[in-house]
Formats: sequence, structure tokens, C-alpha cells
Amino acid sequence: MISTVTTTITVATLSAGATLGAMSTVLLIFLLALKELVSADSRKALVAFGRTLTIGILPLLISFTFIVSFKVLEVL
Amino acid sequence: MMLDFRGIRVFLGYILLIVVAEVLTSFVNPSYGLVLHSLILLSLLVVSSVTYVEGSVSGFYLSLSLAPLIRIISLSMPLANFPRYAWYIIVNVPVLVATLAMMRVQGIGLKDAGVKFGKPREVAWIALTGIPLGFIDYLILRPESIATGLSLSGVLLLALGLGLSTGFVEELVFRGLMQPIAVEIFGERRGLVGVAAVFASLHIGWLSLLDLVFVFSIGLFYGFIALKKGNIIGVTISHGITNVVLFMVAPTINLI
Repeated sequence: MISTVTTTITVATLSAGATLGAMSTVLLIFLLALKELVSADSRKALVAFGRTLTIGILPLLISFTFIVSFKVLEVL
Repeated sequence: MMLDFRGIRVFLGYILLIVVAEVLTSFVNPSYGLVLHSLILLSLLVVSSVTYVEGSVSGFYLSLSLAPLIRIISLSMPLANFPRYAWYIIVNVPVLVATLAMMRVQGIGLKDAGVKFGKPREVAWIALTGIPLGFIDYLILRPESIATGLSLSGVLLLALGLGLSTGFVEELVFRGLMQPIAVEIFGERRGLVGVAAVFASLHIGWLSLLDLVFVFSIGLFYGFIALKKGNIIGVTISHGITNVVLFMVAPTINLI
């Protein structure tokens, strides 16, 4: 299979999905906090860093939305 | 701008780190792999920002950050809530969003990444290579069909979704974005082999050494085609067809 979604990844997400989801949420919070911190500075390297952080934040936000949506649906 | 020997060693170092993170994910504990991939991602984003004055070098590290990001996303998505046939599509949507965000940050358009429509006969010949490649991969992995129990319209939708999600997203990341910058700063041979190695390393989780060699060879083949043609449409369709043949056609007809 020429896909980066491999067997071990799917097995891992099925067996330890909650732990991995929580860890990725921590990473998302860390990236969001970092973005807030660097946006307070006007140095060019930090402005560039703030922009690049968006690349990590956007997909993790989507993942977080999926996780929360399914948790809410489970509760309902 | 060609990088010096130190720059190549940094690239090799990152490839090695990604391999270690994949080995941890696949053979030790996925949580350890997720932590190491997160650290690699942060490190690449920092290095990219620090080198922002050296345009293409910064762009290379930024494009390389998509590799750990792919794994972080695929590990964090709640796949248990979806049927198996939807997994590849679900994981690749956020990866596509990250890729488009990266292209926006770098000011790269789809055409710059090789998404150009034209020369249909040439594209068709390249795309058709997906059929034998799919059967060869089936001989290596022997997976079960993921289309069992689906209606004809369901099978067609799945084939389209599987082809687009795995083919388009992965080719855009590796051959469309990562490879051109790697070739620009490391030279053709090193750039091609380096990106194929990154691509292959993210397939360690299939737990097959033969498949790893096969995927590395495919990475070189697709990379060479994309480099010479300046277009990723043919290899994108070939990539999609390979996975459709492997997971839907070959197990169903069971001729081999």
C-alpha cells in the first residue's frame, strides 16, 4: 500500500485512540499558546515562526473538532 | 542555493529522526512516536523560521515538517468512529489543509507544485503504471478487500475517494512541494533519494521490509517522472490507481 496511513497506525488509533487524541490536544494547546507569545513580538524571525505555526495548528484543530464531536455524540 | 556538507548532514539527521519516530510508533509505543514526531515538527518549524532569510532553505525545512505532521494527524484522528474504507479519506483531509496552509505561507501556487493539466496522452501512460504497481504491491502485502459489502455506487465513490486522498495529497506533499525544494538545494540525485527516503520511512508501519523497498523504489520512480515532466498529475493518478488495485481490485478478482 502506497499510503502513509499504515496498519500499525490504524491499530494504534483503534486501541489507544483516547490517549493519542489527548496528546495531540496538548500539542495543539502548546502551539496555540506559542503563537500567542510570538505574535507579541515584531522581530522578523518570530513573525515568520508565528506564520509557520499555523501549518501545525490548522490540521490539529480539525482533528480536535472530530474528537470533540464524537465525544459529544457519545454522551447524547 | 546549494547547501554545504553541513546542510546535507542536517537533512540526513532529520530523515534518521523520522525513521526512529516511525520505529517507535510501529514497534514500541505509538505515544512515544507521537512525542518524537511532535518534537521533530517543532524543531523544523523553528529551524525554518531561523533560516527565513535564506528563502529556499527555510522553505525546505517547512515542507519537511509535513512528514511528522502527517503522522501526528493520522495518530490523533478518532478512526474507530468510522468504517475502515473511510480511514484514508478522513486522515488526508487535515493533511491537505496543512499542505494548502504551507503553500499559502510560502506563496506557492498549485501550478508551481506541478498541478498542471495538459498532455493527456503522456499523463495517461504514466497513470497506467499504477495497474502493474498495484498488483505487485498486492503480491507483497496480500490485504483483504476494503470494498466488501458495498454497492456499485459505494465502490465507485470509495475508489474515487481512495485515489484522490492517497494519490493527490501524498504526491502534492512529497513530489509537488518537498522534492522541488530538495532538488534545488541538494542537487537532483540527493534531493530525489532524500525525499524518497522520507516517503518510504512513513511506510515502516506496514511491517514489511519488502514493501519498504518497493515504496522507496516507487518514490524514486514517481520523483524522477515528476522531476523530468514538471507535472505531478500522472504520478498522482498512478498512485491512486495503485492503491485502488491493491485494496479493491486485486483482492476481489483474486487471480494471483
